[in-house]
Amino acid sequence: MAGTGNLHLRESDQVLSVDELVVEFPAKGGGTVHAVSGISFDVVDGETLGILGESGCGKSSAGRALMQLPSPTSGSVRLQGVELTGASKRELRTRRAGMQMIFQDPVSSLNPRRRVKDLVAEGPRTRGEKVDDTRVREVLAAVGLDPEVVWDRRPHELSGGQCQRVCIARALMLDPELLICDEPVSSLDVSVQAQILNLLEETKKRYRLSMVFIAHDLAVVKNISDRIMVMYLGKVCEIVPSGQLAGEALHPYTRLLLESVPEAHLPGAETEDSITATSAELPSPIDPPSGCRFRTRCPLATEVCASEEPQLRRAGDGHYVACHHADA
Amino acid sequence: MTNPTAPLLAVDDLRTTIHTARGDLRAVDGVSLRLDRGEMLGVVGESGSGKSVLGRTIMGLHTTGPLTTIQGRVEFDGQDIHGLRAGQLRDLWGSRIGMVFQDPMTALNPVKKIGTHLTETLRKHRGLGRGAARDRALELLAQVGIPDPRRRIDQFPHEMSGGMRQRVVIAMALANEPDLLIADEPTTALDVTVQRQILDLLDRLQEQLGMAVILISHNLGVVAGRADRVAVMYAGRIVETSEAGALFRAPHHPYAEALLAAIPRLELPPHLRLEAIEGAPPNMLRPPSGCRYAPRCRYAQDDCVSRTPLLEGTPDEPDHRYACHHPVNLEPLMPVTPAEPEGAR
Repeated sequence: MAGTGNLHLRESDQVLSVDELVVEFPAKGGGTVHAVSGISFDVVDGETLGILGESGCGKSSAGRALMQLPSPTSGSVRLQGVELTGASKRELRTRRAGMQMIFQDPVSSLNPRRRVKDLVAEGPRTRGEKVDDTRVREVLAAVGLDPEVVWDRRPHELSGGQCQRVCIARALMLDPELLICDEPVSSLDVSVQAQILNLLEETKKRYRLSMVFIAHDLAVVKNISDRIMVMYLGKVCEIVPSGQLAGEALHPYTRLLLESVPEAHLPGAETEDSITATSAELPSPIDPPSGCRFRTRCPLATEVCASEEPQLRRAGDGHYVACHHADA
Repeated sequence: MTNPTAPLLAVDDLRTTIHTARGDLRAVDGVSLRLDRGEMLGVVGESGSGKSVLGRTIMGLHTTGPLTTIQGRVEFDGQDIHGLRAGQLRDLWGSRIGMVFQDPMTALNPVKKIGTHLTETLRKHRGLGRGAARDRALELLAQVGIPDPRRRIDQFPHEMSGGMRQRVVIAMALANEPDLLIADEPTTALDVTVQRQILDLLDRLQEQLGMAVILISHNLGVVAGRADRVAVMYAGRIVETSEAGALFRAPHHPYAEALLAAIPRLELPPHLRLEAIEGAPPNMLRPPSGCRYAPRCRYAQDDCVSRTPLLEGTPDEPDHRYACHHPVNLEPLMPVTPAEPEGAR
């Protein structure tokens, strides 16, 4: 990954197990977009896995493939041991309910013509369940909305942060075990972003959730995650416990990301042994580089990086890196 | 004409009111600022704070008309921007004021080649011939760090990545070596590794060309460490402004303090509860009276609602001005010793 391997998978307690996930799309003008190229990971009970990467790294495609939106090209996605890939629509409706997703743009993920009370009750109703108003009120209160105030409102009458709270409430109505968040705070202002991140942490504890948190912002991902999986061009570069991200990350790509973050608190803090990308251009996912996919921008790259794909190797407790040259 | 001691840009009590179907929206409500030659001012604020409208009003993109009313004065090198005719304004834009917006794709014409974008402005404002303009365009592309300019110059915008397109937009803005560059969220649409390259590029070019820059961003990190001075906007007004280091070390306005505290920090351990600012920014159709941050402020008292605080400094720090009756961090702080930056190795 920029290698492959599955040394990092755990033995037990998995809520989610993903094996050799591949997502490909036909490209305009022929060819295939290799969005996700054989990644494996798992999420254990009560864990938050952060998936970190820049645009085009396949993090959102991977998140959608978990939800079977659409089903991955190949590979396996198991929720509590139950296989989701290849299941029929009807089977999915029950099997997938334990996994819910919230998205980047909360306003466009809500039907503009529905009122909050109906939006929140929609999930169980779709499954033919009768929904009690008190339960809707309870969940609204749990996400920090006053049911009396928002009950009859429509999405355009709410702020972006409030809409994201409604989206979280919708997800919670189905009693999920796993919440997948795809850039849930990227479209929100800093002050509101902090509210939603705090809410996600509280919700996770209160409803005993596990979480997959997909985002491009390093500090945000670090704040909320237990483990972080760094992706580049459809492959996994590194898996690192989030407390070690800033100080002990080994993959040159992770280090490049870390050094690119503009910091408000430590302006001008330059590191001595800084790393610079040799090229600004992301290679095309239609024709990804051989071997390690990061090699075309990597200052450490040598011949072996082009000929051999690096495997994930153990670099410490819960820390795995796929690089021929990182000192593990 | 040019008076070297006068500021390049002087904005006095600027008010931009947008007339909407639902009432008057006071997007910019009494902003004054000065910018010297070669200086970089960072303007930060959340969405709706008026920072972009401020930038556009300074440029003269918003003018008084049926939908907008501008009050106050914007003086660029002694000229009243809002007293200029459309043609004079256009001359100024191409040659002395450059601008870079968030989305490079909408700033570029999809059916024109990269080269045309650059040669157009060079021929119009500099009177260069076809060949000379093309040579200069190649030079500019190289200057903004575009590899292989000879190939790129004949490409169309869609053939380039977002980062490359933004470089082209910057090259266009800099083509005539303007005195003032207004960059409104220039890196917001870009990935973090590309963002750093673009910001470094702006830094370098500012120094080389000695231009003044107004860098508008919602991201405090983008502005910190680059701008000489910072202005924090909230609900149409500047609530605090100072030399950049002083503001980031010891913000005096509770909003600036809260904004800094709300950002997750890479050097801190995971799962720390963030200091969120409760509530949401005010509806600018009906802004609260007095201090506009008061409804969300943890230090607010009665006088915050009854009296609007003015943007003023203290005798100790005359250039660190803030608009607050109950400022914070006024005592000299313990010297901040940044812990060993964790990214270091």
